[in-house]
Amino acid sequence: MRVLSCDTVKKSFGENPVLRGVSFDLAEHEFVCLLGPSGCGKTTLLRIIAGLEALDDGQVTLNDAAVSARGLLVPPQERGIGLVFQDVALFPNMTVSQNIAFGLQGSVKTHSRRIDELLELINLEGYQNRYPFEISGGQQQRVALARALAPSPRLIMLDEPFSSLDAQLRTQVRDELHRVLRDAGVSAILVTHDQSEAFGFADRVLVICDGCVVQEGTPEDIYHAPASPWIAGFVGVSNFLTVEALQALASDPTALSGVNPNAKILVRPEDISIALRDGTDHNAIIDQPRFAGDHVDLVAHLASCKTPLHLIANHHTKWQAGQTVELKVTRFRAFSEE
Amino acid sequence: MPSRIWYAAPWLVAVLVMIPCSVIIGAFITLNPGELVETWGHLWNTQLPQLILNTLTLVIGVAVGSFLLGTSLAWIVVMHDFPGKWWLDGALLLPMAIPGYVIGIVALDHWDYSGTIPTALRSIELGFPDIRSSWAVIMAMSLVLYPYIYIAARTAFREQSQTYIDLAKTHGLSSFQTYWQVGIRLGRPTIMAGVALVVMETLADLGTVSIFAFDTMTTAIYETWFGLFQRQTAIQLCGAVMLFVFLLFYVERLTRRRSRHDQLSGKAKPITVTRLKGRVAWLATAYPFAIVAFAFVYPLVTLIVWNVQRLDQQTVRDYWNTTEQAFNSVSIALLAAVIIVAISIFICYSRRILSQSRLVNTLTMLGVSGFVLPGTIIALGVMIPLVWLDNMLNMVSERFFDRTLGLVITGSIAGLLIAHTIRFFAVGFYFTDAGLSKISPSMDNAGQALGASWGRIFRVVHLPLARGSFLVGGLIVFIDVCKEMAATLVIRPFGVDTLATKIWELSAESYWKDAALPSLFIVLVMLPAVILLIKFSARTRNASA
Repeated sequence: MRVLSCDTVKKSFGENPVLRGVSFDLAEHEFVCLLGPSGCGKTTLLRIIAGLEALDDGQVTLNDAAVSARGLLVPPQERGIGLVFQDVALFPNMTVSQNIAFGLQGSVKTHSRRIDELLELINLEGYQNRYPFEISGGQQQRVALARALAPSPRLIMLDEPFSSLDAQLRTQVRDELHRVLRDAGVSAILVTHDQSEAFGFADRVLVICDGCVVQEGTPEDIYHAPASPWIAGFVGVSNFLTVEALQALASDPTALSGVNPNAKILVRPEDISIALRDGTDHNAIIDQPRFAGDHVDLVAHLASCKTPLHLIANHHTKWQAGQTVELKVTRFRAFSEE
Repeated sequence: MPSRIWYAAPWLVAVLVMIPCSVIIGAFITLNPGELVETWGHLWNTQLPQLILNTLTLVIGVAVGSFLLGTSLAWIVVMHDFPGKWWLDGALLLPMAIPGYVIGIVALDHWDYSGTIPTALRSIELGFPDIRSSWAVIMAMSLVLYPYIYIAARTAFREQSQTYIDLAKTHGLSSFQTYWQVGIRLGRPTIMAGVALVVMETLADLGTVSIFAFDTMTTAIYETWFGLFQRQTAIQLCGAVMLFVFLLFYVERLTRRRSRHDQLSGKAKPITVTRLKGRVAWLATAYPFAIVAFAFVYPLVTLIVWNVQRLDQQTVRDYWNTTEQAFNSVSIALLAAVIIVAISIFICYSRRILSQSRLVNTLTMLGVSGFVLPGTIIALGVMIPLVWLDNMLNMVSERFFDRTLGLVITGSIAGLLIAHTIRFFAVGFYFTDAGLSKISPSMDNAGQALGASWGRIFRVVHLPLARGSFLVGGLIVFIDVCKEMAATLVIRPFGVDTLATKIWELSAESYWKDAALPSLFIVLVMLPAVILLIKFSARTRNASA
């Protein structure tokens, strides 16, 4: 059952094309993430789906009824989509209860059951009469979600909902929102520029760049099998090597047999094993060790390659610049040059 | 799709502004060049150079004077704590309740050659400079106009981030240098809005300059129209002033085209208030205190004393007439304030709903530019087409119904309200827009997505949040219209007096105390509005925090 379907959605602001024909479907109970750098058009796409913006060409279908097309714009209030914003946008002059009840017909009193139910869902029982400025940022974001869920929409869209939160709080609120949305049984679209948010949240990720969907797949697909070097670089730390350089490093040189000799090779830092070597059998020199708590970030200079490699190392070893090591690449991905 | 109705209000204000502009430009175009050269040659050989010099001196003097007063007072109040701050902060707005011509009347009675103080000084063989001169007009007007800049600068300084102040300190800037180089520079767009308001009030002023017998372009236009009945010349003078004003604002805009002044980072660190101690603290108290005393308490007390002295000369009829004039002043000002705020809110919504529309922005900017037209010019520009309209109506009714209708339009206050709307729309719009634009558009989107209509969003979200700003805008329009003299004199319906026009009439003979009663009334009528303004302009900040 499809909840939402976008078909070659196009949009320009003046001369400037923002969406160049985006298509995707969303199934019931599915969580999709629109991932891309700022300015890629992901927020515009979300606003078009919400009905806050008209499209130039293409079609948006909600529950098998067209809501946006050329010359058609069903107003946002008739779409039944819940929205959660980056700046939270709780009404500062209303209490938590009044905020949650905003989208329900009638007063706070007539909906006390539903409000209590939602407060329980977001773990904020007893906060009914607080004002938004009296609760923390994470709590505000949960109330905003409850407000969006109140009229029981089938689809919730979240626009960078965690970026206004502190780093430590972010993961916690993300997991909390994820659980609440699963329990509520809705479909969800998350817009973000942060790949870790996207991976931790979504069943399926759409990578958007310059108004186009450049890759679509599970978080694992996107990370391990990026469709282009750009995507590889966008979703994680990437080392790019020549085939020649890789040959000296590969743990299993036979794996390189079928690879185009001009290909660009992607190696993730965690796919390189490191062993300290004092003697002459080392192939790299350590530089810039940066202790990061649960691991150490390193840079290694290779004899066979000009660009240094980024590595992740064990945090119990005391790493120092100038140490000699032997590196082995256990996994890689080849991109043939166009 | 958004309804076309949202284009209505932006079109309305734009068309209103275009009326006086096209009348005056039209007068220029239809003139034959020979005549034009002749009139201007004559003007240039007689008074024009002096008029231009006077006007420039006055505008620059008052702008600088009220800028220095307004920004320095705001800096002291916002950045420091000192004895009496809690009431001086608001009290500094009180001089808004004193029109320039009222402080002028008081000043001339006391400080003119035959006045109380110079006479006393002469008795001990001390001289006193002539008060009927540029420095005195500039001082009088600066003292009552600085609150416009004070209110703007206070907002600008309060919203500044402490980070910049800390940065200035670590670079070794003195407190004065910080005010001058950091505070004023960063606050420039907001402060300039206040300066613009002061410049326009000064340029439009008829009452104060007439009392000081200081001839400016505005007095010349008024004299040429009503005294000499040379209407063409008056309109041409209007055109010259208009050109000057547009040039002035164009240059200001040009000088700050490339620079941006808004905070670069998202969150502003709130200002830390420095507690002053010892002699500095008392100086910080004495300065604003002296200004309030001189610009507000002194004229008010003088007016009260005069009225008490004249109790036996006043008849019940005088009080009754003055009350009626006060009623006229208040109802016109109130109507204008309500109309302007309503139109402003409407336009803010047009801009919110039709957010991509360049047309709406252009129309609004055109409407806003009406405020650079001096009152006399607007009044003349509005009156000419209205008189024509009245004539047309009468011609039609005589022809078809054999009846004369009389002055249907020019006999009502419609023309007056149109003129005030053109002149003061920008003031109301500035505050309305400031209040509404603080409310994040995602708040609207949240409301819309939850099924709320614009009506409901306005009622339960925007109105409670922006009420303070609407009120502040309305109150400032009310105060401005109440004081307004030049346009009211030109376009008021026959026989309708306001306090301002009565003061003009009574002070024409230089017998200042005759104007004591309406002068006191006008201050008392505006005082509640100023007090409300003090209350709400302090509060709007808390609401947005």
